[in-house]
Amino acid sequence: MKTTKQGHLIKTTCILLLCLTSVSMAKSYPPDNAAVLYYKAFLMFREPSQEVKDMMRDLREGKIEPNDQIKEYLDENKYVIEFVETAANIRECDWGHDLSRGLGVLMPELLKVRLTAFMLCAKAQILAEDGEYKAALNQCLTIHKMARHVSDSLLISYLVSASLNDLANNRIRDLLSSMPQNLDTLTWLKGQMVSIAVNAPSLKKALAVEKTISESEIREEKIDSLLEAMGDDFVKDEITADALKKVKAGDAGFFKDNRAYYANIMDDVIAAVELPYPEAHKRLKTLQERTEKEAKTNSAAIMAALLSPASSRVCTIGVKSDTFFNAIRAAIDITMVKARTGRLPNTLPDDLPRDLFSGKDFLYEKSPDGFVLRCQAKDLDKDEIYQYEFRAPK
Amino acid sequence: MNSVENTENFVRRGKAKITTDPRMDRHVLDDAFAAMDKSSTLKRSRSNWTWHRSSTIRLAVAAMIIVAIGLLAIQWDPQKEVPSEMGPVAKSPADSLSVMSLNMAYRRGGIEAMDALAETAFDLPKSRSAKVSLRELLTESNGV
Repeated sequence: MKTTKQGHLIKTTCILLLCLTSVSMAKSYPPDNAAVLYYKAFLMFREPSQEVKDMMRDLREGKIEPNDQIKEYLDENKYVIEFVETAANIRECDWGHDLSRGLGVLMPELLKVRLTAFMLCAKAQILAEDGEYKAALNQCLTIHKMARHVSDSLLISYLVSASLNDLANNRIRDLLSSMPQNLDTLTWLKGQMVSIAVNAPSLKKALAVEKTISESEIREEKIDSLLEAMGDDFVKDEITADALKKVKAGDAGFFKDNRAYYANIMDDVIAAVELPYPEAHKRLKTLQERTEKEAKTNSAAIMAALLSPASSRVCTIGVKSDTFFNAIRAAIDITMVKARTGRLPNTLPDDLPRDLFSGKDFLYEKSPDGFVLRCQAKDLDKDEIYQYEFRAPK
Repeated sequence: MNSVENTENFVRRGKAKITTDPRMDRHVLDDAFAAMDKSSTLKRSRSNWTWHRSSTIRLAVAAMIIVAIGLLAIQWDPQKEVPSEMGPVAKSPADSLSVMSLNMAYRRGGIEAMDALAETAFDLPKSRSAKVSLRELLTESNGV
């Protein structure tokens, strides 16, 4: 009797162990870290020829229709697309950057994600041509998710991320303007855009990392490699050339003073980007001009002048990208009204995402074949007001 | 007085009386043959040594001529009359993927400049021309 019980116990234990093992094995894919799959995709990525690259650009710009060469190229990279799609849906993404290398840290993924995004754009357009609009939209959402996976590391990551967002937003705008107004698809898209908005790239975070890394580079023992990495094409005037001489001759005290100055400026920059756009831009412009002016007379300001980004421009790029994203979200809501009622609303629905240049609602205007969302304030670098046109198929 | 005058005087004085004996003649003849055999062997071995020596010299001369032709070929390389210097060691393409390089590319020409950077950074080394000069070959194989 006792032996039979022991036998049952052993059998049960074995079955439980087998179940646990199978569950753990089943959970091993996809991995927790999206970067693993991105790297895998990049290993298999087949670079397009210049001809195909040009064709994909023309396709994005609406100059040509999808052709066999582009389709063939996408087919060659079908597993790459598959890995990237899976990776984009994973929450965590750790690229394994060795930040102790300072500004010498390598980020090959930034260039690869751009090339992959071009491919996803082309695929979205081909799917749309075949009437597969939801799948096409999904390609665009993949680009948005990729953008979030590269956004926070450093300032350059943030800028690449903004460029990816623009690529995706342009495609979604085209799709919204051509696809049938299916309420289910639009509701699904709205939900996806909301979830993507939650993890929006943060300029503040990127600048904070940039500050930490650059600060560690402003040292006597690191200056030669830093200047080498910068190259000499930034030396465009006598003032910069003179500053460079001082940097090369700088002692420990020189670099200590420069570190302190740079840290203060970057703290001011990080605080400024949190302000509404017009104030932020004005403050950043002032900080930039002050640093450049002081670098001529105060040697402690030289490294800040050399290393500080054109923060007012970076801020504008971020605001422009986020505003375009908000315009898409607003357009989805407007199109949903049309899908429900059969006609475009006469006024802008309430509680829609805003124009971040002005901090106000978009100006909404119906046009003969759709509608326009217009910003209420300018891009202060380009002195231009942006507007987003959407067609609304009958 | 030399040996020729001695011999002439000796003959003139009529003192050339030589006593002959068949056994003595046989003995002298045998000695002569033995001496001749010995002399012949020595000569052959000397001849072998001389032959070896001369072929070594010939080989050395041939080698010198080849080396001389080689040196002349290098000197007279029509494409590169002036000895070419090795260019600076190429920067690794990976260096252009550092944050600072990407930053500088962006500062130069925005996101398009970064795309252009991707074309060079990920470009595999090109295969080199099959036409390689003797100097390049020597340089590469000897590392000088």
